[in-house]
Amino acid sequence: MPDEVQVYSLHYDKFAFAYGQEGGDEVVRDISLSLPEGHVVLITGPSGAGKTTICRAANGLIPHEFKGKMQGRVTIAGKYDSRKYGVSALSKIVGVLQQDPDTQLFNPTVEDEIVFGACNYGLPAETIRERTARLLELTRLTALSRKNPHNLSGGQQQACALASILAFDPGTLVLDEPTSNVDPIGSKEVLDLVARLAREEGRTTLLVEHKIEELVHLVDEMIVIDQGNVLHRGTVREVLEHVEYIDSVGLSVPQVALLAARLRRVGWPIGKLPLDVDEAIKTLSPLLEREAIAQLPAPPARHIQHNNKEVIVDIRQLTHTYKDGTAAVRDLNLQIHRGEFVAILGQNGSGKTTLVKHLNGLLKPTSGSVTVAGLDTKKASINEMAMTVGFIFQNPDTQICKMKVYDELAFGLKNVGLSETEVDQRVKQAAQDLEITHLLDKNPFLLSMGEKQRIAVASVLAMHPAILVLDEPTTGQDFKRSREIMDLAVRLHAEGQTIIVITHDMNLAAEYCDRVIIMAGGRSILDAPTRDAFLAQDALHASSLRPPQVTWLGHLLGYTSAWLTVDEAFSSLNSVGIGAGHGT
Amino acid sequence: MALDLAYQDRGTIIHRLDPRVKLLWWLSINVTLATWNDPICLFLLLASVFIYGRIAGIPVRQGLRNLLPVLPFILFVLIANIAFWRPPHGAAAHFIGYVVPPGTPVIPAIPFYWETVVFSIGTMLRLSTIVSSALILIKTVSPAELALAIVKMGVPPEIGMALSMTIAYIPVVVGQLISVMEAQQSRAWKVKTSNPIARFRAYIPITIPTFFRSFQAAEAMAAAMMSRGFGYDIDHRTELKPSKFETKDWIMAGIFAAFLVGGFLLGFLGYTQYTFTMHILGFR
Repeated sequence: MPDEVQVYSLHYDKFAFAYGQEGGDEVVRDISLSLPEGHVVLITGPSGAGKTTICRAANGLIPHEFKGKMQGRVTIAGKYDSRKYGVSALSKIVGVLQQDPDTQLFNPTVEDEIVFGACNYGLPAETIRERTARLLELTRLTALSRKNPHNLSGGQQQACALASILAFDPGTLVLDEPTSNVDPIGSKEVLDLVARLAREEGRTTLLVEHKIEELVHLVDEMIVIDQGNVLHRGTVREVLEHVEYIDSVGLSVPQVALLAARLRRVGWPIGKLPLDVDEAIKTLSPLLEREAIAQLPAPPARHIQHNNKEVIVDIRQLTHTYKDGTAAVRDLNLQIHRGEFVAILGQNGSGKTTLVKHLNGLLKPTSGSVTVAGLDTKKASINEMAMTVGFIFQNPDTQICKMKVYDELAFGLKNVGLSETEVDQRVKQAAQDLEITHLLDKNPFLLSMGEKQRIAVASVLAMHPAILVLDEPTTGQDFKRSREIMDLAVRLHAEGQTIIVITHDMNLAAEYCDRVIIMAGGRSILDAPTRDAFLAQDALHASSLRPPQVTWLGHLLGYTSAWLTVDEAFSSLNSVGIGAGHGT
Repeated sequence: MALDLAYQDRGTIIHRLDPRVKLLWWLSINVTLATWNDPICLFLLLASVFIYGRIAGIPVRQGLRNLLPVLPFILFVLIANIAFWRPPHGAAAHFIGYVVPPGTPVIPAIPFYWETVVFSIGTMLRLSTIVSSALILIKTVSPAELALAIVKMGVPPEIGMALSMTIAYIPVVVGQLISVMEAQQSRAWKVKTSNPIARFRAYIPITIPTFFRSFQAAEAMAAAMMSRGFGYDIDHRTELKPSKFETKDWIMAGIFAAFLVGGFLLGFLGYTQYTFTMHILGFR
């Protein structure tokens, strides 16, 4: 069909936008994008790339609700100019799902939530009832239809929010990081649902996601943007030809594609890069001798092993039951030594957050005991716990409360009653360590998210805690920012700091942590060195966790230990050394 | 905790009432207390609110627990009353002593009367009743039902929906408040003083991030509502469960309407003024 007669479900023509009445710096520049009916387009890019802005423009939230200077044109269903129609009218054709399910759920029950939009559009009551029943089934929420949406798991919340859009049957879906706050099971549920809607119902879909691994076979076109500009676009296979560059700008990429690209660069005769583990096996098997792989030694330990015998966290028979009767942690025993780098893994609701909130006394044991650096958390004061355990929360906006960065860093120190001289000295040291000395006189509320995160970390580190707890450092963050936080943790660990990371990101745990504790149903079902943990298929399966792609690839190729990172897999395979000899 | 403040369908007789009746109950309490300031009468009114809540399946202990966060404000009101409220007939008032004696530099003298004590207690009970009745209304009327109810009463649909969304937003804010408090407690934040003003100031590190995050959440929620057709054609919005006014609704509406009129008249005619308790305590 000639381009001029093609009717696009969604069409961006040289779209550019700058927020604010004055129209500051453009967050999106000159983007042209066309979604033919039934196509699935994936947009990925680091934080601040302009992805959310593109989503907001799809149904007129930009320019109607978010003010700023818009250039170019966004046309919906080939005829509706987003400048001329209101958000409510355009949303009937383009359903937009935002990132955070918490702020999208405002009805008392799941059922009320789903029908809200359909009722607003005045659809016949019988149609709404039929659709609601079907959507509840599709999203597996039928049994939960009378529950408050805020009581659902992250995956269920996103599925509910998605169903609430589908209830009024928009022809086009725009999904802005629909799995950003969701654990692996929830992510899979949401992305499976998106795939079914796209493939079975032919729904046009614009998807913004970081988790490319899960989407490689779903999307028709992939676009990588950064700082408002398109870096690469094409089919997933075409775009991932640039996988090393995409990795270098701090985006999450399929590990097997990156591994194959690196092998190809050193001379391995690899044509198309594999997109998943199955393809990687097919690509690499002919180039490898399995016996040689089976005899490869385990990679050396990656981090400094402090081998300190001092037990810094001693948890005995810990049980915690919430007021509503939910037993979140049951009969848990755990010891952590000074200087360890530990990951606590598990799905949402597995009890990992409840567990770590016992470490700084935010929660007290229902039964059992928690001793941290010799302090019984049941009896220790808030001051003692704050000086012993530093807790870095997901969102820095949760804690920033002062109008000057210096005061923010001094907040905890003053709370525990340190002298002015001591406060000043520690604030300056923490600012220097986090490279934010130049920001000390600034207002933290006016800084970027990355700078705020560093301020939040500095304010905790200024307390000189014996243990540092990182709460889901990847949730709601892009890959680059998560890495920045984790690289800082590695630096601190090298200096002897005990680090505990709560996460459901397998790649992150594999890359950074020395010991893994997997929780399920409030219990620890596995506690082992990271390499052993990712070989424990039964425990991973029981908690519905999947090892990193390279670990799984190694297992399928007959490697007896576990590769935890692309670097390790590359070194091992390259040392086997036959790949480069084939056909070069 | 956040869900403590959200609507929960407990299936009680109160939950089955027409939302307009529940709104009338809330109005009858609040209009009445606006004309009352006697602590004994207000105590009885507050007790009636807790009894209503109990019938709706809300434990009294939970109702009292929900008042804890507003305690600093209630104490603040008490102090403000002591500082600024004076009995209308000062010469005939029952003087106890001076909070701030005459001759104190800068600060004017603050006399303290038995009338001030009685009136201030009444004011605290009034504030507690306002908060408790609002929370019980929120827990017993679904936001969507409420919107429809007030639209049926002639309120513009936009206002009805906005009100219902405001109520739905409360659990989100409370959830954020909890995460902010946990983050600050991790940096040794605590309220270590019983001085209400210092206590008020101590809450600033909690208030600022909560407001900031709430503002972000409100923006996101407004965008989510618009993206689901809010305000598209509110006059032709589909009603899945058209509400009917049944016999029990007429009976309860009659009782609440009578209470509203009676309570207002009692207050207006001066029977429920603080002087009632003063007389019982033997002050003439």
